[in-house]
Amino acid sequence: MDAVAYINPAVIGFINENLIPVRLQASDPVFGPKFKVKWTPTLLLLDAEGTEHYRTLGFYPPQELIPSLLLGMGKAKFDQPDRPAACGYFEQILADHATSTLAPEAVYLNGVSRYIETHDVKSLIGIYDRLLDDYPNSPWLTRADPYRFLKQGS
Amino acid sequence: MTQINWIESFDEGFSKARAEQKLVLLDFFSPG
Repeated sequence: MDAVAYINPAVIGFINENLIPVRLQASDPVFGPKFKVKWTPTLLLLDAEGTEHYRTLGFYPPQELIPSLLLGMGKAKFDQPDRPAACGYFEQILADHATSTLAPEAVYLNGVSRYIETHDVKSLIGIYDRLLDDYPNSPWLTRADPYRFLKQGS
Repeated sequence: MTQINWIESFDEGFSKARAEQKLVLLDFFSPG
């Protein structure tokens, strides 16, 4: 991460502006076991109370790290729960990082967030339709497969 | 901004997160 992602100007700006970056060695005798770190790099997004909302394992190139962090920020809002704010992060991924490998999950979570707020099944159908159109090879399409049957009742 | 402003203290990071109402990005790394 130090050799590629963490020296990228866009990544530096994004992290410094949006997050509080804390760095610890995986061998830390207290926090390594506390957060069950078994391999590096492990990245966590935690709220100020220490609750974990997102975890990644392995290296990310710069163009994937920013949408990954946006996904985690959205998940933190989803958990809060502040689903309109969560949708804002998921939609930012789709607007600015549509070719990212994280984009299909953003489609899914955006639709789920909208459904929870509105109880409108069109939000779930929309997940399936968009994944089918834009990300037909994504495993997230498989997860959304049942939603296609909702078309019959809508 | 030329580098990420890493904090190397867990407590300092969470204190700052509370003050700024931001999430903590906690990076566990292996030196070298």
